[in-house]
Amino acid sequence: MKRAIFVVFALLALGAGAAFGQARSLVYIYLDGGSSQTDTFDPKPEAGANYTGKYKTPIQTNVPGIMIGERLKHLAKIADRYTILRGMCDGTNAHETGHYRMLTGDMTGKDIVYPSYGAMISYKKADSYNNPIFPYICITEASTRFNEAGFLKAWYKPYDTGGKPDAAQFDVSGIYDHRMDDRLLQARRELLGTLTKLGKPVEQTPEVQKAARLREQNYELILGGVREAFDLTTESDSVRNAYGRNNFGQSCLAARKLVERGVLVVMVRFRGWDTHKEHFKRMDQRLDELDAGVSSLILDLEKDGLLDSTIVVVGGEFGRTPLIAFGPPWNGGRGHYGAAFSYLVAGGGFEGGRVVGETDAKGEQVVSRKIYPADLWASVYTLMGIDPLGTVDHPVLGPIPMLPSYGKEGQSNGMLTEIMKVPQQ
Amino acid sequence: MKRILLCIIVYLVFLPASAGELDRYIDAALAQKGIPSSPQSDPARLVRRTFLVVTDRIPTSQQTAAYLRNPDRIALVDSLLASEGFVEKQVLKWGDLLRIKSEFPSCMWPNAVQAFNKWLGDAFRANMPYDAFVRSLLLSTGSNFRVPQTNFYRAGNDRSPAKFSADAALLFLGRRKAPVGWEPFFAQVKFKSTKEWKEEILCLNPDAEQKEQAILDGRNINLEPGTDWRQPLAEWLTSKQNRDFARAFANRLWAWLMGRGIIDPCDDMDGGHAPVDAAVLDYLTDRFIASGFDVRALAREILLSDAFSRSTLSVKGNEADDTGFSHYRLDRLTSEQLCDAICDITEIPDLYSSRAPEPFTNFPAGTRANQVCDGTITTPQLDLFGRPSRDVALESSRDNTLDAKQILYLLNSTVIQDKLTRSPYMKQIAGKDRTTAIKDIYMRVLSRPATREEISAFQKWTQGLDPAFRGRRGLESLVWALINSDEFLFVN
Repeated sequence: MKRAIFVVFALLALGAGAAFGQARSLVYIYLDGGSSQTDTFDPKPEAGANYTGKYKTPIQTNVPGIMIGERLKHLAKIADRYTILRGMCDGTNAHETGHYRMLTGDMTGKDIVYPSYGAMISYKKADSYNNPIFPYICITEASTRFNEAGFLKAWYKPYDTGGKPDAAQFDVSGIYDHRMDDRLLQARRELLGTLTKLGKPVEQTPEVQKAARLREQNYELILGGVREAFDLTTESDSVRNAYGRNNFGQSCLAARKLVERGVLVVMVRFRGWDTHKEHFKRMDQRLDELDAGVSSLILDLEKDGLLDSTIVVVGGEFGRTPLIAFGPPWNGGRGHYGAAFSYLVAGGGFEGGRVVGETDAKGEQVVSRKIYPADLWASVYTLMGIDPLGTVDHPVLGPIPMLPSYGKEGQSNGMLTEIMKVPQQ
Repeated sequence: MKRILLCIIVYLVFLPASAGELDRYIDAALAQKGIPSSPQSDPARLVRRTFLVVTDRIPTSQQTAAYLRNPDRIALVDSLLASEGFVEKQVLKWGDLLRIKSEFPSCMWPNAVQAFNKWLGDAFRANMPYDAFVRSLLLSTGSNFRVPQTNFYRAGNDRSPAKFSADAALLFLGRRKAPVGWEPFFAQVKFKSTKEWKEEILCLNPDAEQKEQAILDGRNINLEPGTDWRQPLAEWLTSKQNRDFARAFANRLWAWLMGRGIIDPCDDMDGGHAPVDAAVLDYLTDRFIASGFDVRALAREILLSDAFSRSTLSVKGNEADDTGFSHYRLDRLTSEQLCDAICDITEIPDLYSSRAPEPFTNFPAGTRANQVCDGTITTPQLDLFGRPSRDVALESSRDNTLDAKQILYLLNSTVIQDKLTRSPYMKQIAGKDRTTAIKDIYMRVLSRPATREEISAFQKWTQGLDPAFRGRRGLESLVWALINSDEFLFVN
């Protein structure tokens, strides 16, 4: 009952014909390990040096009243394009649980392992997605902390590109390998054909026939135009430099190119945020990379007219302890923190220039507008034209709610209707 | 006298030829439906299939050659069943069912995972009778590090009597729902933590009040204070009188070895799926009970049957039969089999490491996919080919269907290119005379000799290549082509 009222309220708040289905693609920049909210999007300079460490002077963004961490200089210039979610919480300080909760929105604590957001979107859009490139791509390697396909077929797991986007050649596993000459690739294809004809007979089961069909299809991927989508060398030096000449920056660039090709979901997995030790030294580098990569991605999408149809989400499995652990063995590190952290969302029907949620003076507790993982995904799904109250087929249980925590007290606090745009008539 | 002699001659000629009793039941089932059976598989395919099915490994060239010189099937099956490979295979299969996994959602954590796997390995090495094995899991108490079987109760968030009874019914009876009245048997189970990281002690709550009576097989059971309430369930479940217990495992083992249950799915015994043939399953059940629940003996009987050794090729009249009775099923190599085979061929192992707890633990190079035994530890390729995530105890969570990403991986992945480029085997074989090298590669990858046509076709293909690709890269291309062939990809 409570849930029903809640839902009606949410739909009313959203307004009829709201931004449902405006977004075509999603780029999730995942800050793997958990990023500090106070050093990024929720600075607390008044909390004192035990909290701020050396980042004492947050900077004013181009939106009056919104301050962010001092190293995010480029992002500060475009705060009107994104919204900061300062009320995020997922209630766990364990990587594996936080990761699962953030990627699925499921906080029910039941034994069913849900598919991740990317698997879910690919599943829901399976019929309408006609693209030779896989619907859900991870640059460069998905975490294996849980099975992202959940109870769905293994097919729904992300496709990992592998390789190093910042290398002279970005090798994309299966699609492009700079050491492999096209002539040899062609010749090998002929060899396989010849030897198959000469080999022992194989029963032509449906799976064997499928293998033959998939080989033909895949050669189109390998030798056809798809690999150009991953070819970063076609971009000018100034563009590549703006994103940052590092693996994260170039991953953001690759994500933009995939979005241009209509890929549904791209995760850029940015590793190295689990800074228990040497926090500030590592943050100096991470934050600069984050700043350049994300700001360039948003600006580029905008320039290409893709920002309205592309959602960008930035954040990790939780935040980090606002109070710095100065004692050994941490010597100035930050621990895991799931009670309050920040996310950034932009594009695809999310308004910019806003802040949703507020934490206390030290950034330790959410004092207004808690946002749970289910709320974030319900909003993203809605913008992508997927009803978050819909179901998903479990192989044994049949249809079950796709976002079980959504609408449940203590696991959900409503969609982000305050920043979801109603499109122009 | 003449008649007796004739009888003896008839007996000698016919009976031993038609192998064992199991085949007579299978043949009768086929005859009843008018389905002809396919001929026996050739020895090269059979040796490969037997290795894969029993140990998850492809045979080495030497093992294949030895079998082809002296195709003694009984010796082959016996040596494989006695090998560490069969122990590993069982640890893997039970690890899937018991959801052995360090992290989410099982959260057994590495110490317990290792202890549990070691306990399973010891049990299978000693060929512990299946009834004793199940009792040991069900009736365990103590520390999850010292009495590893207690981890049976630790897989997952939900540690309720309802979950325990559902698990027991699914694993040991192949039922999707626990029978009514089972929950009270598990009402005493509780856990205490210790100061050791992730150690837990399973104990029986002495304060547990006598619940409403439990029900077993339609009878009311009084649960007495001061006793282990799981005891009556475990005793009844694993007794010889409870045929469903033996039947469920006989069917499951048949499915592991033959690719499909006689009742299928093999873990849905009361879901209304008709058995391919009830008499065959009854026969296996009888044999399993009579042997005192000897898993190895049951496996041996199935592996030595004519049904196991039939060709995968259909003949006229049995094309549509996918039960495995008339011709052996053609299934894709499992994830572990495939990944390990590619490592064996190239001699470049996949590397595994555990991230919990920090600092990371690296497994020694050469650890095989089916030795990792922790659902949390994986590689992208192992996941790609549908290794079960060990989130649920269903056989169907192993996903053996082909998809485009898998074929893409085989055709052109950096991982495989890398393995071929770095392979010590390729380096060694490239120095040999061409024909010898080609023959060696066929034996190694496909477990069969190359034909003359194949050798000359490959030679001819090499001639047409740019000279830069003719040498070692040519031979790498041969290995690549064979790894991409259906003969490699499917268990023949």
